[in-house]
Parts: sequence; C-alpha cells; structure tokens
Amino acid sequence: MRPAGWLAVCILTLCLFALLGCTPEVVREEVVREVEVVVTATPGPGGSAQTGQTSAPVGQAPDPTPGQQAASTTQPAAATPAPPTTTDATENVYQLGISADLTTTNYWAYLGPDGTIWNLYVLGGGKPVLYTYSAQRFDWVPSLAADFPTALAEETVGGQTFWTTEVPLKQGVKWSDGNDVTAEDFAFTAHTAAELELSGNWPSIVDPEFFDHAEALDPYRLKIFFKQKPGLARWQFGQAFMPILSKAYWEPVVAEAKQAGEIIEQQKALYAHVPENEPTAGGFGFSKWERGAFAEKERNPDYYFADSTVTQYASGAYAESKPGAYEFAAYGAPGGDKTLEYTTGPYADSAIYSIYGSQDATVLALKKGDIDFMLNPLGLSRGLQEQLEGEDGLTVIENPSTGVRYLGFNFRREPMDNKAFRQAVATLIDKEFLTSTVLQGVAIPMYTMVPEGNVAWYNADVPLIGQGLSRGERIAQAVQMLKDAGFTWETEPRISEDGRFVEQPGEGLKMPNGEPVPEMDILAPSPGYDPLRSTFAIWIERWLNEVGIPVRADLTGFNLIVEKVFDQQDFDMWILGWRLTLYPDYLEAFFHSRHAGLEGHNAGGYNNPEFDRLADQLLAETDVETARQQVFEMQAFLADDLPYVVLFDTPLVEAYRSDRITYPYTDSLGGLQNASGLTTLVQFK
Amino acid sequence: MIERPPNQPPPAGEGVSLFGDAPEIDLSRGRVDLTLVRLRMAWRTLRDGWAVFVESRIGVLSLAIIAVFALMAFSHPILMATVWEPDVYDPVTGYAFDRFDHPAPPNWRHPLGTDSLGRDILSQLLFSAKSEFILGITAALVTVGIATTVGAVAAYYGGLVDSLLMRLADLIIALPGISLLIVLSALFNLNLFYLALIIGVLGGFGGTAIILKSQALSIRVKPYIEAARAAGGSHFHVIFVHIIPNLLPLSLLYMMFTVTGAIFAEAVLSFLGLLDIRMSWGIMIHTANVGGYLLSGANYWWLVIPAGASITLLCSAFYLVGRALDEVVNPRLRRHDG
Amino acid sequence: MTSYLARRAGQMVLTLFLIVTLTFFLVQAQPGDYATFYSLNPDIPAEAREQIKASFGLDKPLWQQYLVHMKNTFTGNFGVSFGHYPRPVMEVLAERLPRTVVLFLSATAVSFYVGFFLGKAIAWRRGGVLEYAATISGATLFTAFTPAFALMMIWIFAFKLGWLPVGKFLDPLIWRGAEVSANHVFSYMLATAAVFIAFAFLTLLAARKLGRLGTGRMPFLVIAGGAAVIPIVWAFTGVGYLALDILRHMILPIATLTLISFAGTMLLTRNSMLETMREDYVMAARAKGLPEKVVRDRHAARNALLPVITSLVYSLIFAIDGSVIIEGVFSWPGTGMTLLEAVRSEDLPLVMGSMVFIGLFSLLAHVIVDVLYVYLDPRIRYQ
Repeated sequence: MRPAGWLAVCILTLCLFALLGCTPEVVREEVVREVEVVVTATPGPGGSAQTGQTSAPVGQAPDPTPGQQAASTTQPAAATPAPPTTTDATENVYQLGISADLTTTNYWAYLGPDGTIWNLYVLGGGKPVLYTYSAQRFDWVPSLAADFPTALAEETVGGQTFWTTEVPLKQGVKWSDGNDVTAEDFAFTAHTAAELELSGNWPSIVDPEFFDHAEALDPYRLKIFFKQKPGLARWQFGQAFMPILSKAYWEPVVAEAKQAGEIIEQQKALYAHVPENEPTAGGFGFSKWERGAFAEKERNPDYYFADSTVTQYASGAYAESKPGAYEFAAYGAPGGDKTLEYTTGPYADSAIYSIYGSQDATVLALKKGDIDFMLNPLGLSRGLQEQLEGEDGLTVIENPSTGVRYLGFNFRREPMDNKAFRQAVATLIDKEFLTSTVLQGVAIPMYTMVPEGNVAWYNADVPLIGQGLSRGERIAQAVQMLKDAGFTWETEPRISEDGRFVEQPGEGLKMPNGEPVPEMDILAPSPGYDPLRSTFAIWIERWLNEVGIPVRADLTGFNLIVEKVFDQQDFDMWILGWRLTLYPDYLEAFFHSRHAGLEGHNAGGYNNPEFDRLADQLLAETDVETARQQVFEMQAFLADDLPYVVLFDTPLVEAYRSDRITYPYTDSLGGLQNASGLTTLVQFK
Repeated sequence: MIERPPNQPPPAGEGVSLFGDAPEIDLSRGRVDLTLVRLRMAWRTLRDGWAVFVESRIGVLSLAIIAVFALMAFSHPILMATVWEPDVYDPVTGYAFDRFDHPAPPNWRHPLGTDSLGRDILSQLLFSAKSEFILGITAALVTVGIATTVGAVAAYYGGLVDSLLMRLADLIIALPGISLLIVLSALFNLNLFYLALIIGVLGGFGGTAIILKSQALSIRVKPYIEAARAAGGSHFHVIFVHIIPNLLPLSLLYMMFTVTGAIFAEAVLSFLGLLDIRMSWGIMIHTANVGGYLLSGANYWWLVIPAGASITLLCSAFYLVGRALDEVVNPRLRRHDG
Repeated sequence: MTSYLARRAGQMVLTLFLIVTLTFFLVQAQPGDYATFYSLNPDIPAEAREQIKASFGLDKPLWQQYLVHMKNTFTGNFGVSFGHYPRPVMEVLAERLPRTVVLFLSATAVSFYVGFFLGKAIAWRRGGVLEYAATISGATLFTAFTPAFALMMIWIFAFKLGWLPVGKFLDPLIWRGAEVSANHVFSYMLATAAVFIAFAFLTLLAARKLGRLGTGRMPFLVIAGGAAVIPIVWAFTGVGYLALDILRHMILPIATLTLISFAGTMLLTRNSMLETMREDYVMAARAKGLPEKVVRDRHAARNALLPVITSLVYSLIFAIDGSVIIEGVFSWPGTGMTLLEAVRSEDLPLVMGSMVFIGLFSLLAHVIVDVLYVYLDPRIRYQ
C-alpha cells in the first residue's frame, strides 16, 4: 500500500508542476533579442541594488586619476606577520563599506558575466587604460597614452580597407613584476577579447563589428585597425577605455583556456582562473579576499602616476604633469582661475572593503567609525541623511546622479500617438510640486534625457513644457491643447475661481475621430519597490482624471512591467527608469525606429523619420564637438515630441568620516561612489 | 510510521468537543428534535469551555486585544465615509495637503502623524488591520478546512487514501516553509489573497492535517460512529455530521496559530519588499526603512512603533488565545484537576 | 530498525526529488529569466546576450534544462551559479554553510536551554508572577517583528553602548594579516564542538554504566574539566585569537535569536511538565516526601524532556529556515542570505542549490527526530 501511495503522490505532483511550469516559458525561449542596448535599467531603491547587474565601464568614470591604477603585487601571505593586534599606528587604512560580496577577482570575468556594481567598486579602475575621463568635468584625456591619437585614416592593407589610428604611449610605466606596460599588452588584451568572443561588457569595449586588430609599431607606439569607420561610441568612448591586462601574466592562462574545446568552454576556463600575484601598474594591488567578509587592496609603491598633479581651469583648459616625467595640456592654454587641483597619491597604505548585509548596518558602522565611507549605488535615503547630518565627525555630500525616471507612451495605440495629447499630459504633470513639495527634495525634476550633471552633453535650452504654471493654468492650457487638436468632452472640466482645484472634473473625453478615449493603464513599480515612482504614478492618475483622461495607475512588480512593456509590448503607458552612460548615444537606442521590435529598447514604438536621421548622424560622427551639437538638437527635439515625459532623477547622497579623511573634491556627477571612493586621492588627518 | 501503544494518550483534544460526545438519541425521532438536542448540547459545552477559558487571564486579555483590532478594522470604512476626505486620508494615495514637512509628527488632524510620503499613519494602521484580518482568517479557514477534511477522510477510510494523504503531509512538513515562501513571493509578486491561499494549503495539507487525523482516529473508534454507519448513514454523512464536528474544537485551536503565522509571514515578506500589496503593517515598516527612518530611534517613532506594535500585539494575541484554548481542549493542562 | 532506516532513506530521496522539481518549475514559471537582466543592460549586443544564455544553458528546451538540473542535483553538482559565473553552486554553498551551521547550532542550543529551564520553573509554580511575566514576554518576543527587533538590538548593544560589533562575523583589521581563511576557523570550531559533545555524551554514558558511583556531581566535573581543556588546546593552534573574534561577533545574533525563540521551548516544556506531573510516579515521589527540587528535576523534568527534545530538532530546522530573515540584518553571509540574494537576482542554479541544501537539512533533521524517539522512549518501536 505504501509504495503505491508514494508513487501516486509523485506522479500527481509531477503532472501539476509540469502544467505549472510549461505554459509561459516555452514561448519566451524562442524569441531572439536583436537590439543593441546601451543603458541599464535603474533597479530603483529597494530593488535589486544588491544584485544590480553590471555597470558600463564606458560610462562610469573610474577612479579619475590619470593613468588607471592596477593592483600591486599580491604579497605572499607569509610575508605579513599574523599580529594578534591589528594595525600599527602609522599605517593608514582606508575603510570602505559595501553591501554585497565580490563575485570574482578575475578582470576578464568582471567585464564579462560578473559585471556587478560591487566588483566595479573594488576591481574597477584597477588597470591601465589609453584614455580616461577627467575628474568632475569628464573631459576626454590621455592616461597611458602620451597624447591624443592621430585622426582616423583610411588605409588599404593587402586588398582590405581599414580605418586606422595611431596612439603614442608614455614610457616608464611599469607592471609590478618589473616589465614595462607596452603596446603589446594592449594588443594582447584586445585580441584575446575578440578571439574568445568574450561576453558581457566586452563587446561594447572591443566591438567585433569594428575592431579588426592592433599592432605594436614599437613598444610605445600603438596602431589600431578598424573594419569600418568607428563613431565616437566605438573608439574614443569605447575601445580607448579598454583596461589593459598584463600579457606576461595572462598569455599562458589564455593559451591554456583556448585548449578547452568549444568557445563557451574556452571562455569558462578563462573566467574560472583565480588570479594570484597578478602584476599591476596602479595605485593599489589586490591582496586579500575573505569571502563574505572583506577584500583588501594594498598600496603599490612603484605606482607611476604617484605625485602627478592635475589642474583644471575655469577656461576649460586641462593640465597634468609629473615632475621629471611628463607635462600635458589640452582644451585651451592653462591659466586663469583654477577650478580643481590635486596631486595623486595613493596616500593610504591599504584599502579595505567591508561587506555589510544591509544599508542600516553599513550606516551604523559608519556612525560608529568602523568605516570611513560607504559605497552604495543608490546613495542614502532622506531619513538616513537627516540622521547623519547631525553627527559629529561626519560630512554629508549631495550630487546629481546619472539616472532618469520617465513616463513612456505606447505609440501603437490611440491617443498616445497624438502629439497634442502627449503634450497635454506633460503639461498636467507638475514635476516641481511633486519633487519639492510632496517628495521634499528627494527627487530632482528633469526635462531632458541627459542629466544636468553631465555638463558636456546637457542641453539646458530644451522646451520646458508646463514649467512654472499653477494648477489652474496647467489645466487650462492642457484643455486648450486638446481642444485645438480636436478632442471634445461631454462635460468639460471646470476650475474653481481661485484656480487651485477642479470643481467639476471632465467627463466623456472623445478623440478627434469622435471615438471615446479608451480606459488606459499606467504601469508603474509598486510602493514596496520604489515609493517615488509609485507616488508619481498615483498623482499623474489623479491629474489626468481631473481633466477627464481615463487612466488608472497599475502598481505592480518590476519583472511584470518589463515583461509587458519590453517583451510583449502590451500596455498603454509605463513608468520606469534608466541608468545612463555619460556619452549619450543611448538616445539612438531608445528612440530610433529600428529598435521598436519586440524586446527592443524603443518599447513605445516611437517612429519619427526626422529623429531617425539625427540619430543615424550621431552614430556615425567621429568629432566630439559636432556630436555635441547633434545631441543638443536631439534633446530639444525629444522634449517637444515627447516619446517619454522625462520625470525626475534622484540626487545621490553620501557621507564620509571627515574627522579621519579628506578628499580633494566632493562635487562629482553620480557622487564619489561613481569614482569608486577616490582611493588614490583620499588623504588622512 | 510511529505506532502508538494503547497506553499512550492521543496528542490532545479528547476532553471537550463542541457538539458533545455521544448523544444517545432515538434515531426514529424527527430531525428538528435532533438539531435542537445538538444545539443545546453545543451550547452547554460552549458554556463549560468558556468557563475554563476565562480562568486564563491571559486568554481573556488577548481576546480583548483581538476585539479592539477588529473594531479598528471596522472603523476604517466608516471613518472614510464620514469624517475623512479620501484624497487626504486614503491609506495609499492620500496626501496631507495641510502641511509639507512629511513625515509630520502627530497633530490634531493626523493623530499618529504622517509617513514620508505624506499619508496619514492612523488611516494606514486601521486600513491594514482589515487586510491582516482578511489575510489571517482566510489562511486559517483554508488551513483548517483542508486539514479537517483531510484528517477526517484519512482516518475514516484508512488504506490507500490514508497513506497517500499522510505521505503528502510528510512531504510538506519537510519543505523549508519560510524559504519556500520567500522564493515564491520573490519570483511571483504574490498579493494578499494568494499568500493566504499558499499558507493555507501548505498548513492544511501539512502538519495540521497530521494532528487532526490522529484526533479523528480516536473519534472513529467511538461507538456512535458505528451506530451511525449501522443506521445506514452514508460515508459522506458520517464524515461531515459525526466526525468533523467533533474535530472542530481542535481545529479552532490550530486556526489561531495559523493566523499568527500568516500575519507574521506577510509582515516579513512585505518588509523584504517581496509582496505585491498596496498597504499593510509590513509595508508601513518597509516604507519607513526605505526612507531610512528605521534607525532614527525615538525621533520618528510614529513611523515604526504603531505598525510594529500592532503586528506583535495581534500576533501574540492570537497565539495566546490559542494557548488558552489548548487548556480548554486538553483537560490534562488544567489547573484545578491537577 | 535497519529496514525502517532504508525505507526512510528512500523517502528522503523522493522528497528531495520533489523539492528539486518544485523549485525548478517555480523558478521557470515566474515572469522573466536571468537573461532579462542582460537584455536591459548597457552595451550588450544581441549575440553576446545569446551567448550568455547559451553558457547558462538557457537556450535549451525546458525539459532538457530540467533533466540537466535533476542530474546535477543527484550527482552532487548543482551546476554553475549565474551570479558567480563560472563558480560551481556547490562551492558557493560549501563556503557559506559552515557559517550558518555554527551560528544557528549555537543559537538553538542556547535558546533551548533557556526555554527548558524557564518552562520547568513556570510549570512548577503555576499562576505565579513568573508564569505571567515569562509567558507574556516570551510570546511578545516570539511575535516581535524580527528584522526590526534585530536591528534594534544592534542599535542598542553595538552602537549606543558600543559593547559588541555591528554585525559581520569578523573584524577585517584583525583578519587582514591572518594566514588561514575564516572557513578554516569555522571548521575547527565545529570539530571542537563535535569532539566536546561526544566527550560529554560518553562521560554521561559511562556514568550511567557505573551506576551509583557515577551519580552526583562527578560526571559534570569531568565534563567541565573537558571544557576547560578547549581554550588551552586552541591557544596552541595559533588561530585562537581569530576564533575569539568570531565568538565575539556571535554574541549579539545568539542573544537576539534566543530572545526571539525561547518561548516555543518554554511553553512546550511547561505543557509537557504539567502532563508529567500528573503521572503516578511523580505523585509517589512527592508522597515519599522527597524535596521539591528533586521531584521536579529528577522525576518530572526528565520524563517531560521527551517531547521537548524532539522539538529541539524542529526548532533547529526553523532556525536554519529562518536564517533568511536574520542573516541579512547581522551581515552574516550564510545560506539564508545566499538564498535571498539568489532569488532576487534570479540566479536559478543557486536558488535551487540553496533550497535543496536547506531541504536536505530539514529532511535529515526529521529522520533524527524519529530515531531519537526510539532512543528516548522505549515504548516506541519501528516495524
């Protein structure tokens, strides 16, 4: 009897699970994602910050020191005595708090499938790169390169036409194993990524459609061959930021990995390698990882860029020098008012990254003095900010962040395809009231897809629909816009005499073709996931209902919104967010009509030939200044045509122990976490 | 699996049953009379049970607490319909326009202050009380409904049915419950109703079923069951008229524990941000936590204490009522006959 | 007994099979998959995304993925974690398990002892102030909102008073020079605990065999002596200061867990005591005029222990299962935090792996309960 009973239970349950499991999943497996993606979805507070996959190394300004640090030699564990007491008093340990463990120490894997924000904080900016963003202003400046590259030139080699450029390298930059950092290292890294078809962030750094190969003309002169003419995003803001790995260390590892069979197995073998004593050329070297507890980087005594000085001038000029080694200036003649000046360290002997399980625990550790700074992609919430502001020895800093939250329209449905309708919706949304009054400054209103802090690309002159109007004026204007476009009401909305509220809400709104405006849903994250976006959704619902636009805020889970909007395109309007890269070629990915297919990033199906033309131009552009003008034009165009109503961004609030450490600067887009805590610049009191 | 020797007492619940044990009734008499007799006996046992129950001061106190929360739950719709304007006091979409320094401390318009999004805490608290009752009671009813039926059926039929149901129960107890709930809610964005259903089904087919079955076994061997069968009662009749009513006292006891579990689970899952609920006590604490007010100690007490205390009070009240009921149902625990 | 155990093992395998199946299809049925994260990601072209899917095996049909997972599970290889790619799930779990086991075994032991002690006391003096105080405070703590309560404990003891560390299981400044990994120290600690328990058990067994000679304080003195040897041995290993650091970090979580969970054991002990106290032999002992304390501890409490000891195992399961809630607050990266992190990032193999680990643990515990029953209660025999 008993075995029979067991068998029956098993079979029944299996059938049940099979039924449960099969239905939705089979379909989704067949869909091919075809669109190139440029930007991350903002997980939003309370969401998957802990697991926030990846961060674009391209867009992130890594440690903005010229010349990226790499890890110094790993000291053999035996070399350090095991003292029962901790640190001797003269040693400066920079202690940082992070909220999740590293998942790898292998640079290939970190830029591949293990691109978590936490790996970025600890490992990011740890390798030499040709060019980098300058601090604060994000100027494009040489790092390992001695000067700017030669202009792209067309060249035919062996019957094949390439676009080539040459880059001179600095001499005397050394790996910690004593070898020089040379053009060979660059070529090795790029070729490995291309040959092994490395995944994750690699294709955006070494794009197989553009990059062909690189040659070392001599150890300090590099020549790169592209298959087709690379735009800014591919070369200057792409491959030029590629971290360079040591050929001497990695060549045998890569050679062994290539024996592993299929390409996926080869990648796996490379990713699985756990580096030991990997040579570095930067301010710190990775020295210890106690899984789940902390990671430590130790100072590299032979850091090339130590004592180099960077000066930025109000005129826009940039100057950098290291006594007895090199001097560099660009973007105008140095002189006049200085906006920033600092000398690179590292001043810390060691940087320890302690892992805490929750934001609250990290904040307590900061208050208690266990850590000096906390790295957190979302920054501090307002309650914590308030608490820390009153605390002795702590300084709270606030910076704009690199994100945007928006309301998107589905252009495949009426009346969202009507420009007047979209503008009326934008007019009714009082961003200033919501951000400053309701949310009390935890959000910043936005009107364009480029955040203000991204100085070089931000266009301040876009149309600011509805800004500065009172509630009554907004309603009057929106009603007028709709009327002009041919919308009619059964009962028109009536505003009270003082213009402060609606006495009689609009009813029976009809579209220009005479049909009633259908009931519409606004998909938005639930308050548990992101109270800010759900608050916006609720208020938008109320404001639109007042004039008779029948919408309902559907507050639901993040995954569900993504599925409905991006995978099925079955929705009316939605509210989500993007984390943005500095170089705004994402405008093309979001709004070009070629990305409007299923699972594409233009989920709203925005299709405007005029915009497509602008976007195509931007992709092909190779000159920074021209690209800037194009991006300005695109922003103005979008702010008027409104495929998205750009809503708001959250400022990034951070705190550090000012009784122990000082930074050369604290104003920086995305906060100091975006510069991984300025490990090579932080000084101790 | 475990064979119980005859001298081992059954786990609990032999003492009192709501409908009296063996009503010796002449079956030829009318149905109405029978019902009357039953009702009278039920009333008597209820009265006796109540007498035992009130002896436990903790039990009475807890019952009073539950009553207060029930009043709170009922008061919310009334307040919303009478004195509270919906656009100010709606627990989810309301906004206190009268001031903008949210979270505002308690004041005469908002007796428990407002949260960081300008919503009235008292309104949220009352509104959530209703959801918690709905959640707890749904989960409890589902659990006990399933468990009682499963227990009675398994005990009555024995054999294959019994072993099938009991193996299923073994299986479910072996599942790590909290982890499973976390996986479920993280992946599916459960709402209140589904959560109640899942907790109910897991409890109903799991541990509670085993306990109720062992109780049902002891009822099944009673002479009146045989009498009912002999008199031509169908299986269905015997199970639902004779066995299940006698299981009810014990079922009631387990209902109380299920309510505690369900409310607690909801709060924890909401706190972790895993549920798809617009408002609950757990969400209130979650909102405070996301806003960073959980560590502020006494400065923003109204964001955390009312919701936190409500969870604790209501959970422990149900738990303690369950404990007190245990003494009613299981006479071996009573004081006076010790 | 052997055939019973064999059958039980068979059942375990089946249950495990169902847990694996259940988790697998649950994970599959939810909207979105792991690749969704990459589809929303910066600069990842379509081919790269397809490749990621392929390397995770997500491009295969569902039933094939299921078979692969099933095979992996029963060969003790849970596949490769997505979030820690290409690290095997088994390795991730093996790294986290010792931490969970050390913390929650200790916490359960402490909370069990406290609960049993209080339960015994309040059963003996029914209706006293102690009973009301212990019952109400126990039930309140039992139902206190765990995450907030744990955070409050940290706030008071780690921050305001500054006595204890703010979460984590070690102090980086002490460990940065250490030559051994924390998991080494954890396994030494587990080994020490195992040796000590075996020693204590054997001592008690020997005492029982010795009869009258072995009664009284003697065995307890021997055990205490054994306990005293432990620090001396540790002092010679050279990692004693590291173990001490871990112990220091364990105090607060253990205290918190004890406060939260002692009520369960306490109330169960109380009920069990009340039932036992009505037994004839307890009456007889009283009638003989034995001192109250002797009757309570020797006659009543020992027999009341039976149902309580089985509840110990259940509370251990509950603790490990509930580690999901506690670990995050105390920054204690064990299996619970792993599960939470895995479900949030939809790291399918890791979710499955942690569920199977936690499930396996709870299954084992159930078998132990049944075996303990036989050992403790001679009236029960398995067919």
